Amino acid sequence: MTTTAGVDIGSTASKAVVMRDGRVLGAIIGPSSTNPAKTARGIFEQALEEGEVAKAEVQYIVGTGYGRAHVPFANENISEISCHGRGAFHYLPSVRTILDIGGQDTKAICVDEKGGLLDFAMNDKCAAGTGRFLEAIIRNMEISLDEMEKFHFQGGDPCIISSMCSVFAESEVINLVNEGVEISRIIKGLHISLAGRIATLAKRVGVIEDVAVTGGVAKNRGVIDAIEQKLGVKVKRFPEGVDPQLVGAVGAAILAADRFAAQSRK
Amino acid sequence: MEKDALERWNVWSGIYSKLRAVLMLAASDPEGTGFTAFIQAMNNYLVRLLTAMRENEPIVWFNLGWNSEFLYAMDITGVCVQQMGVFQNIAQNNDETNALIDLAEAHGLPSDLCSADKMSTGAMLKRIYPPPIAHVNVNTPCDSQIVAAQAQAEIAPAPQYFIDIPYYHDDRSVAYVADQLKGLIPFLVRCTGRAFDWDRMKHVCELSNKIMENIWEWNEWRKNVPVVQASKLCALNLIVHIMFSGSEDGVRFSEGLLEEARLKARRGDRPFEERARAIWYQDPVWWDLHLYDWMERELGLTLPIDVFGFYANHGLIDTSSPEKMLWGLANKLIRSMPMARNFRADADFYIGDFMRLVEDYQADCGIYAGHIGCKHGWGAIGLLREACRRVGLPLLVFEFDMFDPRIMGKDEMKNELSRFVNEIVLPRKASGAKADLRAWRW
Repeated sequence: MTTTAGVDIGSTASKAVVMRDGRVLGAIIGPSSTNPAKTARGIFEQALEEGEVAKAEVQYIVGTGYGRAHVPFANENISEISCHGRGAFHYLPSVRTILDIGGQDTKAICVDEKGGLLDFAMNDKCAAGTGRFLEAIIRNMEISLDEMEKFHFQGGDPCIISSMCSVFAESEVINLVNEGVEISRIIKGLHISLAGRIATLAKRVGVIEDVAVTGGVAKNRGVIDAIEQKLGVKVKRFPEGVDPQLVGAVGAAILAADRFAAQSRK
Repeated sequence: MEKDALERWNVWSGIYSKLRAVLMLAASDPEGTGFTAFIQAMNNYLVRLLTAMRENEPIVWFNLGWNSEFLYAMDITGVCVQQMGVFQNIAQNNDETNALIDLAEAHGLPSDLCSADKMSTGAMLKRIYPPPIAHVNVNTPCDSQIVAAQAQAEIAPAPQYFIDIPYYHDDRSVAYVADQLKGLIPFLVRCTGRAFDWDRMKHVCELSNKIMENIWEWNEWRKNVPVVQASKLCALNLIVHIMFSGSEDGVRFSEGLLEEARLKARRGDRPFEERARAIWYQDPVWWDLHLYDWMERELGLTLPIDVFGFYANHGLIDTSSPEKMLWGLANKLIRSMPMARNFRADADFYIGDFMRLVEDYQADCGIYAGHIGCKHGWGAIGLLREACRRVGLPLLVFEFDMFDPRIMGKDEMKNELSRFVNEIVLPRKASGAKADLRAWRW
């Protein structure tokens, strides 16, 4: 019996997962803060509590995400590229391309038929194509992130919104709002704009099916719909009950189990 | 001495002084015979060039890819117009390189042209190269070279002989090039006033054969696991062929590379642990070859070979008759010369060479260091990437410029390489994943 944990400290949200023999016992998502070590400790303890696991039972912990170097109790830190790849493959063994849309960056990750990483591309220099893009823009529209999905499927032609720069896109959205354009059309346009950036990134590594989307933005089915249109492929859904935002932390916990097994063999 | 000539003299003698210092530094490592021989050959070339400038001897400008054997056979000093970048970078004059690139762009050359050609055009505009008596050009490996050749004709008007290189590598193509090389001889005699003698050419071709044999053996030694010599030496092979084919300097240069490889292979010691091997399948980082030292030391990543280091074996030059010599020289030009060989024909040829190198040199991954001006390479990137994915071979692709560090700096490049090696290559290797190289053909 192996009990491990993955702690994913992202730019917007932090996630912790406690697993035992491939099964998730406890999983928590919380906001990131200016003190990643404190955040990590807090969500890890909450995940332990949810899973009814004592800290001493956890045999190996892997930290990942932007704040991975600040998870003081982790045995090791591994980049989110490896963790998202591994986590997605764990749930969907047929997956070959993973698009991780995080708060601060977007990644396109290729894995082979054994789940090994083969290639990746990152957009970590520009907010366009990330969750931050949506977050920054809807503050002018007085709606929440959760509501975006509902608006996406309300019909109406999407507005054309620049996908090149989130600053310019924000100005465009303010103009559209002031012109009285329906919110649903603007939201759909935003999703298509975001998907355009992601599709460009995905094509850099080559899109091979199955394709899965991870990260907090993947919860928005409107974005998934737009990505499917842009890439011309059907995005593979995670099994019922799996939160795509937790996939990185799950991957970290699985890699922790691998590391623990390798260590034990020595 | 006129003003241009004086300034020109100062530039070349300045580079010569710096290279003398580099030579002394290189010579302080008695086992580094490859790099020392390279710098010595470059020094000797500069002496020849300065002498030719002083004595007003005929100078022929040419572009990379052509056979310098003709120059040595006729005792003519040549200027490969793309050579400036290598000289400036070895002399650590990166600012000078950038200034020449900027000058060419300011005169209207597109910014996405190869920097080797922008730099050569900048050098022509600044009158750094001594005036030519004639130009000899090949229209390969790329369009940028042709632009630079047009710049040669406009900036330094002189009779120009263009050798048309066909698309394929077959015997008919070799014969077509050989015929043009035959026509080149009376052109050079007429322009330079120098005599052409087939016995002399035979001797030069024999030297050229010796160089090829040395390089083929050196290519074999580089297959050793772990790699026996520094990764940064790979790219120097191209310089051997561009500037020193058919010369004693070229023989010494190739012997230097070979002796060092033999010595280090026999002894089997390396100052770092080789953790992964990569085929660097594009242009080298001329502006800082020390990047390869960092790669070896920090990542344990070595380059047994790169696209410039690989010299395909298509046989020696048969020196039994003038026709056979011409055929051999043409054969060498289109089938073996790095870049001239790789950046023509269909993508299968380009990808096939890559897969062959991966197999022969037991590489764990490929690095497509995408020199932004190399549209011929970029034209095949999608297919190369697809082929790598099909066989399960990690391939890193990034944009940079081989002579201009402003496009992608060293830190950013280190970041790309570290992430690739640590995230993909080493975990794959540890998991026992192997590429199936038979699977690439579609």
